[in-house]
Formats: sequence, structure tokens, C-alpha cells
Amino acid sequence: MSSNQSSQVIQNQNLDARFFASLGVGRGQEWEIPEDSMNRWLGFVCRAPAFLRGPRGAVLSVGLLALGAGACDSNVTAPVQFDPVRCTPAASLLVGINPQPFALSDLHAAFLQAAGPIAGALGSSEQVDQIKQAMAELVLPDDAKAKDTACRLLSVATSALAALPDNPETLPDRDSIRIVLILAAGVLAAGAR
Amino acid sequence: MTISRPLLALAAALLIPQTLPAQACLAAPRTATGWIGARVARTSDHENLFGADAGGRITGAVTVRAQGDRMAFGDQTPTRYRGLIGVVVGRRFWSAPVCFTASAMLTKLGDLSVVTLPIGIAAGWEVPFQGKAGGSSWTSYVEPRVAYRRATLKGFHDTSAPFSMVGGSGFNLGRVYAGADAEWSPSESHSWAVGLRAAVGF
Repeated sequence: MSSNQSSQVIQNQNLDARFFASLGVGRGQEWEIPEDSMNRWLGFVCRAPAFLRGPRGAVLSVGLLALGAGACDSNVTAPVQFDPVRCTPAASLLVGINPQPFALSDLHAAFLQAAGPIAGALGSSEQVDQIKQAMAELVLPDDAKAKDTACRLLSVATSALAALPDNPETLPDRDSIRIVLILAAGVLAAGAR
Repeated sequence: MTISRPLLALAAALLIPQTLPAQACLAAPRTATGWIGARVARTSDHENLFGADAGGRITGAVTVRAQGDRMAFGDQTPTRYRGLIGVVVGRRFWSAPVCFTASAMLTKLGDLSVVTLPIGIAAGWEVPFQGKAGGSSWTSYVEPRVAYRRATLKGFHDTSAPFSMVGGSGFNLGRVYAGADAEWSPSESHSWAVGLRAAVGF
């Protein structure tokens, strides 16, 4: 065996030992691990608390990876106000706007118009679907629960609208939806005063 | 100046581990079976939070805990309810003064539902008092957490991996624990809550 081949074998043994150690199958003393002064990773595994060694450690690792992967699964365009704290309409919707004296339900027709024909003219995309659904759900009674839901749906529609391409052809329709969102934000801001 | 001295003394006591002999992952009475407690806190939303908690020691290394709280916001926002159940795994004789925590939390605020699955590492110390007050001690702990979080509202869902930090410090006096606690969620609108907590062991 040449020196190149022998170093390849040692390297493979190292990799195998690390792989099985990570699964908790073997511990350092049960495996013929060649000398490796940089083998701190395996040492960390072996010194881990007993409940993390063995198959449970592997399950925990897989679980963490699954959580990380799952954290990328959303059907809204960020940012949205889905934190369980008080919701306030985006500042961009409230700049220069006087809080409106009417109720959220008074905007029923405007919401339906924005969710239907106006959003339909924007074409078909994930963001347009989000705008349609959010605007359609905005038609709600005027209690505290409905206002909170409306505020969060407003954040969905606002973010989706901002993510649309800045195409001059769709500008009038985007502006129409923005005006409806501004009116809704004005109603919510008036209630909060 | 008068305020900074006690704060410096507190910080020094927390940051010198060689003088802190025992591990303490939980701010709870040291009774063998479990405890029940109550909590009141002020939050970053300028509202008060009221909560309760209970725990039971299953084995020498495993403690099950449950917590719940409610926070009323006023006319514009519905009341928020939170419930958590989880485990704390740790032994006093581990070489590192830490415990591992895992839990599941459900938060309801109107139509918004948030499921959070946090895991964390709790590190803390317990300083026993000498002299007449046998069985009493001062406990401090801090628990950084990472979580899988899924918030749903009217068919929309948003998932994320937020970081949060909880901690507390207080006195164990026999079967009773009393102290202060805090939670901070930089990933959730930088929300925080600071309050008082008391528990009775059984």
C-alpha cells in the first residue's frame, strides 16, 4: 500500500468514526480511532450528558434540522405583524393621513372592490393572491377581535403590495389598493386614539 | 451613585461562579415533589400580565413544568392567553452547571394563533445562606431559547426561528420561593416582561 492510499484509509476511518459517534452508535473508546489531535468534535460528543448520547442525540439533531427547515415555510410576504403583541398599522400607511371617523365596516364595498376587480387587474402571482385573500377577509365586524385581525391582515396586504414589481402599467391599480389600505389604517388609528 | 453600588454588587455576585456552589436551573422551591406559583409582570405593551405555573419532579433529572398567563390590552386588542408545558432535564452533579429545556407553547390573541416549540439551555446558581436560616438560599438563572414558531391567521401562516431569553432571581425560604423574573423576545417585536413571582412547594 502506498503512502497516499494509507492516508486515504485513515481519513475514511476518521470520517466513519465521526459519523457513527454523531448517531450515538459508538463512543470514542469503542472505536479504533486513529490519533487525531484535532478531534475535538468527537470529544465534545463523548463528553455530552448521558441523555444526549446515543440515539436520542441523533433524534435531537434531526429535530433541530427539521425545525430549521420548517422555519422557511410561510405563505405571507415579510414583514407581517403576526407577533402576539398589540398590532399597529404600518407607519407608511399613516403618514399625512387624518384618522377617519367612520367604522371599518363602512369600507366593505371598497375592500371587495380591491379584492376583486382591482387586484385581478394586477395579473397572477403569489403576492396578488395574498392581497386578494387579505382584502376579502378584512370585511369584519367592528369589535376588538376584528380590529386586531384587520390590522394584521392589513400588514399582509401592505407587504404583498410592496413586493409587487414596480411596473408603470399596474401603477393605477396598485395605487387604488394602497388608498383602500390607507383608509383602513386610518380607521384603525382613529379607534386607537 | 447610590443606585449603582447595589447593582454592581449584584452583577459581581452573578458573574463570579467560583463562589456559587450549586447548580439551579429553575426558580422554584427545592421541595421534592413540586410547586405551584403565581406571577405578575409589566410588559413592553405597557400592560400587566398575570400568570400561574406548576411543576413536578418526575425523576431525579427530569422536571415537568406548566405555565399559563393572560394579558388584557384594552378596547382595540383582544386579551392574549398563553400556555406552556415542558420539561427541564438536568442533574446537580453534571460537570457543566446547565440543564436542557424543551417545551410547547400555544398563544392565542383573537384570531391569531401562535405555536412555539422552544428548546433552551438553563444555567444558574444557588447560593445557600449560612447560619440560622437553614434551608434558605438565593437562586439566579438565565435560559436562552431558540424555537420553531408558526403563527396562523385566517389561512395565512408565518414560520420563523425566534430567539428569546428568560431569567430570574429570588430567595428560597423553606417551602417558599419569591423573586423577580424577566423575559425578552428580540425576535417578537422586541417584547419584554419584568415582574415578580412567588411559588410554594409541596
